[in-house]
Amino acid sequence: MLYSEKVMDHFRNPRNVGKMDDADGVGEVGNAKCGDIMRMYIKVDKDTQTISDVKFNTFGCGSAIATSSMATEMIKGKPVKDALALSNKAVVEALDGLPAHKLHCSVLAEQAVKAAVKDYYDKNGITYGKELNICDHDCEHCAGE
Amino acid sequence: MKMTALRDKLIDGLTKIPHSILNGERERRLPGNVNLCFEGIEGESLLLLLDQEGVCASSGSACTSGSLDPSHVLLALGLPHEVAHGSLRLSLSEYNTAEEIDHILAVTPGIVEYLRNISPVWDELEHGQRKHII
Repeated sequence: MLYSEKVMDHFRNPRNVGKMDDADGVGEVGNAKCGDIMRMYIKVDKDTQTISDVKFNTFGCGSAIATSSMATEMIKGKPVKDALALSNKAVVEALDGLPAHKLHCSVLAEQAVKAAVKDYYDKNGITYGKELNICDHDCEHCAGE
Repeated sequence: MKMTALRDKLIDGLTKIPHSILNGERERRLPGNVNLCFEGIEGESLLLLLDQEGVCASSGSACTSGSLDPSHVLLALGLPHEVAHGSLRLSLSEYNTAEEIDHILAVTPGIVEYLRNISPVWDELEHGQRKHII
């Protein structure tokens, strides 16, 4: 099998899938040309600066759906700054690995979280540093096209 | 003849799925070839779910073969990238049966719907933020 059982579980039973109309932050990364688009919605508890709810929508392969699902689970209920520290490597490890040519999906998941937080920061006048530089639609497999 | 009849049954059934398109000509095609695109979803995820239903299929996006690019043939036919990514290729042989075709027709609409419900592209298509192409 191409994917681990955990990847298949998150693909077949994605957690936190759906739209959020009253989101505090929305991030979208990837593009249809690459074949992967992830959109992440976060709801932030302003008093505690924690992510009280998170939802996602993903267009893409099985690992794109699984990595976004896993990323939402890993940041739900966590402080916003912890969500920013979520690495693609941590997502891959939590999924018991991904095939090498699918690792870019985990990068997208990390970037989708960052993009949602960035949007929340922008809307609330919170300043941030360079760590929130998001995908410029120049993913490895799209570069040069 | 038998294979052509099964192929046509498959094409007739699958193209009933909203916003799907048959790639290539309806009549002048190989007796065992069915190739379609479904808007708003990506091919590999479709294949994985069909596989779980016992259907061995392929996709022009060739995700599983290492290339992540959509079929250059579908692109040359004029389909945009996001539609070409959502392709499904089913190849029939003389050993396939009518029951198998019925099974594919029974499971595919639900799978397409499941993936569309997860897809932000489909959400945009349904809410008029993106135009349906097929």
